[in-house]
Amino acid sequence: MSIITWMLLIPLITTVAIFISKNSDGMARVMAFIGSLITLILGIYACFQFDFTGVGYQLGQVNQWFPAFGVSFAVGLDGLSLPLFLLTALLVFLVVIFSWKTEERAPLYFSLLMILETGVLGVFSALDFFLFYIFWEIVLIPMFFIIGIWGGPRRSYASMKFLIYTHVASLIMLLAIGAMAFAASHLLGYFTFSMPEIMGAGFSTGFQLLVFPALLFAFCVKLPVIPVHTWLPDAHVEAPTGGSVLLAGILLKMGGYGLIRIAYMMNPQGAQAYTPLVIILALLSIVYGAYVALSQDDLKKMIAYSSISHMGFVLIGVASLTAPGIKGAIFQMVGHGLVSAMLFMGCGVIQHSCGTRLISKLSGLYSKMPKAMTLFVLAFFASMGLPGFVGFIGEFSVLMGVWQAFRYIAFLVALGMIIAVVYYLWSFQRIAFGETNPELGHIHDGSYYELVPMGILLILSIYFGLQPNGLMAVFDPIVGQILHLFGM
Amino acid sequence: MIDYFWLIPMPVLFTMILTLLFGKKLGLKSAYLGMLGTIASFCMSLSVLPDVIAGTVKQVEFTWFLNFKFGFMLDPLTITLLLLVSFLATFILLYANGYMHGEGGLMRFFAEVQLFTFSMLGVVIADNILQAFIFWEIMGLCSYLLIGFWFHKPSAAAAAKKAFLTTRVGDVFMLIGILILYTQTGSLQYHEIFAAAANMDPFWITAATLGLFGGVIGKSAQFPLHVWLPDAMEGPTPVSALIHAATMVKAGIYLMARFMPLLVLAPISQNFMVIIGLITALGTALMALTATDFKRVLAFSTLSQLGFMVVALGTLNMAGAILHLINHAFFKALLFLGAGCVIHVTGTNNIWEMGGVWKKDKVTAITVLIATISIAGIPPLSGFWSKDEILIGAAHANPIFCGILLLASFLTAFYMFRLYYVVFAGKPRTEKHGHACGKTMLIPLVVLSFFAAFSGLFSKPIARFITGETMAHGSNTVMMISIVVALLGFLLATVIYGWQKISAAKIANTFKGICTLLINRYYIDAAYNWFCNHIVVGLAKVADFFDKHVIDGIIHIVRDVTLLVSKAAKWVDIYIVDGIIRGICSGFVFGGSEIRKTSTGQLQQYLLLIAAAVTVMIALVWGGLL
Repeated sequence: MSIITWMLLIPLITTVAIFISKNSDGMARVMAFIGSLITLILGIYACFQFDFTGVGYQLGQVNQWFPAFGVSFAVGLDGLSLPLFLLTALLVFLVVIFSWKTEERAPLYFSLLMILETGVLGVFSALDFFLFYIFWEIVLIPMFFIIGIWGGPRRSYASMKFLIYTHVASLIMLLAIGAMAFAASHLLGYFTFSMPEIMGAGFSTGFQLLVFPALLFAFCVKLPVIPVHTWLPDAHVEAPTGGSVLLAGILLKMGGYGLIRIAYMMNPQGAQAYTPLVIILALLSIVYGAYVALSQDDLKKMIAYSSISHMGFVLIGVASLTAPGIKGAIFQMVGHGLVSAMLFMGCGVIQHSCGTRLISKLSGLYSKMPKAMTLFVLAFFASMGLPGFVGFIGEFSVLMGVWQAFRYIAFLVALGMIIAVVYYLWSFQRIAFGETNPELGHIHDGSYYELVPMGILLILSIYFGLQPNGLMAVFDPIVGQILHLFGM
Repeated sequence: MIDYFWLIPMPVLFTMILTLLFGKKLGLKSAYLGMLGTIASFCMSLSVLPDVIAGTVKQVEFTWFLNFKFGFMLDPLTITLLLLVSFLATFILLYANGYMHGEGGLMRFFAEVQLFTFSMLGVVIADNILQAFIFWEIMGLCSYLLIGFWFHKPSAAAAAKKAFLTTRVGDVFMLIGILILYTQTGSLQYHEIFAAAANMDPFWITAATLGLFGGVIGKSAQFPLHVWLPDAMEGPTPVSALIHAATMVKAGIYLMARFMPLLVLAPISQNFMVIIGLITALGTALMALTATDFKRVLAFSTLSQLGFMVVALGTLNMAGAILHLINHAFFKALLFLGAGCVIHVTGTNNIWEMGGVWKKDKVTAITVLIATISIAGIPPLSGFWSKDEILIGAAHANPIFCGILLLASFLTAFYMFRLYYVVFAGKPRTEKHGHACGKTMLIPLVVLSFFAAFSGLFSKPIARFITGETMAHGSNTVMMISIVVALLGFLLATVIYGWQKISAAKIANTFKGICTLLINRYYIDAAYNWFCNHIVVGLAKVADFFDKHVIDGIIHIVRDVTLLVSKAAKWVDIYIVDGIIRGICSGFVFGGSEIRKTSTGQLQQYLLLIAAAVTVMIALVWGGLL
């Protein structure tokens, strides 16, 4: 069995173990800790097994599943999926630590986290469309329950909106996948769901023009892109911290991953034809998203909109179809995964100590919770793309690609970077500086199980900010492959 | 040593990390720890100086990501700034040891000061623009943290935000400039860019230099992004000295000097720089006339002097710009540190609450006097030499430039001596008392005053060292006029504020409108505030409204319509689809119940019916119908 299969199985085994452990909170979290730790270690081990210069999928496993339909259990990783795969294992592990003191129905919470981990790992490693779609849908269910059970006051609204909105997108994706599979069977002469084989089928331009918009819509909902984004702020506001971290950290990346792997790589002519539309959507996300973030009073909502703005960089980076643009987009996904996780953890700490996340009610927190606020402000700087942090590399690289491909549009992209500074500094000034609001009562600093995961993420975002070459080099083969598909 | 020159900034980073680790225990002694780092950097710079003078230019580089390199270079310009920055930082740290006495958060303070210094050294030693930009931004981060050091004060928090944000606006232009350079030359290494410049389209050279200058406008606080610097004095005084003398604002001047080979090819950019420099030099000197806060006067004077340097760069007078950078660093550091002492002694920032400091603190009074004479441009003190160099360059380009600068330099002499008379002469105006300054605060003043006085005398060798050319002999006319102008400024200040022959209040009354304009800083700050509060935030609110009510509104309409359709379907389902089924069913039930009426249980009746049926059937058969 491939190491990937093991990584998909272990969280599920952990879930079973949690249920067998008779609903003990303590056992549940220890199980989840061990399960996610083993998965992470296996992931790191997989990295050592991985040939970073090799083209194509590695560490794979292909088994017949039901051959009558051409469905197989096929998994594998390449330079695009490996970083996201590893990011998933890391963030789930850190979320388990961060949620250590979850008291309400802890066994269920941790089991859902584990199922979610299997789902997302599956999405990033599946090489068969049937399998891919199953994992894609599995992800929705635990997140629906995490928001719906542990969420805030409007949780039922938010969880329903999340489920229905993204499910509609999934169905449209399913239609597009089905169409591609049937079209491929005509071209190949046999029926298959295998992603590499379908990619090699070579669809006609007319077909691509039809399929690409459907895929674009499906992945733009997930990314999300304005104007199909409103599920995200609501989901974030209501979700518990762990849910928010995973939502922003890895669930959004599924959209970016699908966009590159399926929409762009399988329909190159279609993608090129729709470039103007993609640019408009990306710019809307970057600039409009940043503006909306500026006027938010809820910290989480502000960060949710900043995520939308940052995902716009991913979209426009891919659309530029240049090496720095695509590399920057993938880098931005990884970087945003690290930084947004840190940001939402910071929000969680504030919520936990102050009982509110409303900027208008918070003030003078720096003197009360120096450790948490120091980490939080560094996360802000990392997120606004300050050099030395991971965000800069992605944004700079994307900007480089955009300049090469579209010239002056780079100014609008840069405008988003300025507004990011405005909303981050402004909100930080209001929450952290000045006199402490007496209504907040007793405020304590973050606990170690909250601060340690944030610290780990901070170290990683500084490391990849200063030493991006290792990660960038991982993308070389896949980006070469993409550019080759586009004839560049 | 020369092979390891790229280690020069590292001691500062090392002591910064040590400060982070042990700063809590060390407290004020962290200053000495920091000094160890800066002194080590200074000595290392000094040790490679002979090689550089002998003509060695060194460079090392490593791949960073994509095609971008991480590298270091050593040439005369670099080494000059390395020496200057590490030297000044050493004394500023020493001063901070006395100044920060009794403050909280010392570990944070000293670590940030060292990071600030380290990033300035990083900007200077980088051999490519991207790396310089990174340290440039980290410097911005440090300025944010240090200006907002007393963050519980809302004004400090606001000033910190303003500084970072304003400089960041400039940085975006700089980033675009960097992108242009990369797409046009395929490299970000200085030497490769300059090598490729000859084949570059002049349009892109102009665009790139203008973009870079955008960053300089932000960092070196030129009009219209100068607004952050006067507010930046909300930070502790050593930080002001660091920002104004050694780091931050000087980084911009350095960068443009570094890009001189490109600037030479871009006449439009040169003219633009001269115009911006002139506006800044004169406009801010005027503002200094009405300022009442000691440090704010100094801040305006920094803006004005930076304007001089930018004009020098715009007129391709690199020697003038760098010489003035060096001299300004000495006297401005001295002025700020002196200001800190005066504030310490008098317990106030307002110059009209000071007075008679001469008697209270002789050391400060004398050293600040030296700096004042120097900045006013009175020979033979240092400021005169470099200002003269700039004026000659400007006169060479266009006499009008020179005229405007002369006016600014007259104002400089005037407002600096005004400041000096008001603060040091006469008697204390209020009862406020501070406390005397310790030795660690006074030693830096004395050392710096030595340099502020004499650094100008080495102008020629330094200029030759940096530019590689012998300084041209300028016209004596310009020199004479500049001396006269400075002396006139001094004289006017003496008449008004020294001898008080002319009432300052009367003059202020006569030019009331202008004074109000100057006190309000031409309403530029107010306009920016209005723009941010109404336009930016307003747009954000509109966007938020749009998001909540239009985009989500559509989603909700879709939801409501779906629900409505489902209700209609339910109605159809209940009353029509099910209705038909039920209709059929009830038909059967009705039929059944009607038929059941015939089941009476009486055998006679059944027999009768059977007989009737049989009769009918027989009749039908006979009739041939069945």
